[in-house]
Amino acid sequence: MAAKRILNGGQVLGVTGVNLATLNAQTTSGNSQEIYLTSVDTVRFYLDITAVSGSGTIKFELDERNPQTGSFFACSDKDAVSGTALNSATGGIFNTTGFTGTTSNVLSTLDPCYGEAYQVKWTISGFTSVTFGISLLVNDRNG
Amino acid sequence: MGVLDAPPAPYAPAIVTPVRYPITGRVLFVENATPHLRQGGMFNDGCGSASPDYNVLFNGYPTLRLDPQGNTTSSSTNSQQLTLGGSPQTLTAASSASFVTTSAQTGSPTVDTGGGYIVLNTPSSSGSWQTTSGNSAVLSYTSAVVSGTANNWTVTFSGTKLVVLPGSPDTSITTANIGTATCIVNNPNPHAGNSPNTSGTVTKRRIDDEYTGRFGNAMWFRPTSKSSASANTALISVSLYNRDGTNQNAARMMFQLAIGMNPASNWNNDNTLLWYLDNAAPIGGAQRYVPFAFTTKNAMSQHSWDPVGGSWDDAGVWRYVKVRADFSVTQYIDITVDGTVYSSMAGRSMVSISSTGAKSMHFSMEYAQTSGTRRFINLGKVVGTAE
Repeated sequence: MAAKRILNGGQVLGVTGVNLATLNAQTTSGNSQEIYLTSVDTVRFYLDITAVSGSGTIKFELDERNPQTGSFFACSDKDAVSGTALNSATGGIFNTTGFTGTTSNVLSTLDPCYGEAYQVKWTISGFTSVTFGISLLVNDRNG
Repeated sequence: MGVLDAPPAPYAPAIVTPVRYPITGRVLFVENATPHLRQGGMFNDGCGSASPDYNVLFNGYPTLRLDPQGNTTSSSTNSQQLTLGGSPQTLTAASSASFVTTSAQTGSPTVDTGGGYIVLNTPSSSGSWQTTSGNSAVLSYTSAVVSGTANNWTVTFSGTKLVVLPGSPDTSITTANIGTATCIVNNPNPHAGNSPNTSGTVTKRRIDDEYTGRFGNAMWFRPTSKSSASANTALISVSLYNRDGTNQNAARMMFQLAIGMNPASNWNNDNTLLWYLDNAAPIGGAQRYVPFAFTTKNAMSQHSWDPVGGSWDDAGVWRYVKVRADFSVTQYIDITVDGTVYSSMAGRSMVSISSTGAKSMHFSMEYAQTSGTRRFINLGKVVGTAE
């Protein structure tokens, strides 16, 4: 029986759990804190951008942790549905070019989830602020 | 055979119940990280992460890895370093001596003049030992006077004596290296603060309760990564706290890590000084944390599991803590660390501060760091009890 649970993919370093009740506005490129997925078989990513300031783009990509060194590198896996690379110049989570405004119900799928831990990375260009939320619906097939 | 006679042998002898089992109280919940749940039933309300760890198991279950992920804290409020002054002197539990210290800082030293504690934490270099024995020690004093001018302060403590805490190696000390050796007064640096320190991990289970009575918070933890129990940089504390909409009442114990002793073994990070958070101890506004024991025969930060650092020991060494408090009178009952029950805090008021946070009973463990060096500890089998 599968066991699914939801994790927050937008929590950045320094944000406390109690402050996750609201989406965080990001003004610069950055990344989430490390998300450990040691019991996870698949991940479904959900993106909602609720507000933007100015004009520009924001693109999301996935980095994977090397457990031997602790460093993060570009995840070489592909979206299980679209086949798009999750981290590359021509790929990314959700879409390949990024987003220019608010959006909702955007999905991406990692199946199987090979890595120990990941970070969601975002690159902001032009926008002065982007408010978004990313959730991970993680699935343990042996649950 | 009468009904009151013992049954004939062979029969099972009386069992001495192990201290580390939550023998007191009624179990309210047991939290283990499981494959089915992200954090057992617990939540990290601070920074960093509390994530299931399938490399470090306890009680047959995955554990929670508490990892500030590089977030740092600077909880050094009301901690004052001074330099030993005067002349070498011998102090015992029966002393009531004058104890002279100095400071070359610009501003006046902050010292609780109404009484408190002085910690002599032995550094590794014998040329800076505060005592001839080379062991750390805790002193208490009844009053203090600060005199002098900028960069030339003298703090004179009165009624000073040696506090022979459980685990203290010495019943008498003689001070040494006057003019260079240092001591700390008021709180340890760093310390775990009055409120849960959300600059690190604050991993908790909440239940509602109307300050009805006695509770216990028991858990096992392991300093997992290399140097996860380093001196002056890692903060490990265990708490029970509730709020009534206006105030927060908290029972909290913390480990001061890597206390110096002689001989300084290869495992010198093992030695700890244990503190509990008092409401106002003994007098005045600066002192909050009270030392209650040394542990020198227990491991701390040994046998690491830290692949990045090249350590692969997934068995590790686990420590047990249980904090018990009576919320109907907002007082401590006792604190168990490993195999020993400490009761010097029994009847002492847990700290009370203004707080409009969540009105619920919290069972938590906190892990924070003053250094951005990546470190983590693991938490297993958290048992909440009604006592």
